[in-house]
Amino acid sequence: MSIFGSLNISASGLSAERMRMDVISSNLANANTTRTEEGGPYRRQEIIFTPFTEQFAGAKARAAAQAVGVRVAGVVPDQTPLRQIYDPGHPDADDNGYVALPNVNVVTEMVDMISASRSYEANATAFQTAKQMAQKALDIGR
Amino acid sequence: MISKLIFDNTSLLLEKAASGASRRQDVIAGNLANVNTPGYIRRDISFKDQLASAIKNNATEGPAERASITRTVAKAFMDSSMPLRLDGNNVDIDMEMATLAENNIEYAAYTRLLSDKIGIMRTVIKGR
Repeated sequence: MSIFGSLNISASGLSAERMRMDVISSNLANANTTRTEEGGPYRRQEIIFTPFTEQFAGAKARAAAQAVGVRVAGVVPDQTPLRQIYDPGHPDADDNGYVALPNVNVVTEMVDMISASRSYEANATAFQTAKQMAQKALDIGR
Repeated sequence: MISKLIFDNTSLLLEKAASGASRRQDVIAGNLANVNTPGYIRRDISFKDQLASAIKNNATEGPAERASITRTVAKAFMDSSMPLRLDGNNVDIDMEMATLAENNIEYAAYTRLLSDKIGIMRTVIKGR
């Protein structure tokens, strides 16, 4: 792997955690959205991470113990049941007076947010370290 | 004769160590990038043990030791010794950060020793 391999891996981690933050922000902003374009309330979005094994093409990259980055496999709706609140006066209440609210748990989202922030910092530190090591290598014999 | 001064076993050893530490940096970066990936098992590179035994098994510094050092290969392996979390991931972010810092310092030490070796050459050539 070239010296930029490590930088690319850390960059993939940074961008994946940032995308995770976007999804968390979207969930928090829409925690009480009862009316979406497709009809029905907002469903919590979940992000799926997977190791980025195609980053380095060739048979060697497919060997098990390689340094691999991360990529986002997709953003999928969370299938846990929606919250049902009894509120007949609500404009989006159904015939029985129940309103379906999004299945977003604000506490869970906050914890995810802290985790994403910490992982982002860790990846940024790894990036800095790789840069420092490359610079040290350039200084040999100076 | 000059080449024996510069390209001796110590330089080779330092070069192997520095390249092992550089590969280890890549693998640690990969572990950190995948700290939230479900089912990801931590990877690591082992090279220090191989280099240490190459030196230990050769009593004197000579062509035999040189061949031993040249033959060492840094080995990448999956580290399953860490406990799994609920999502199947076993990367401990704190341990990984500590290993990152430690590896950085070791790499700086290897490159510094290489620089100092060249510095000795320079002092000898300059005569002061």
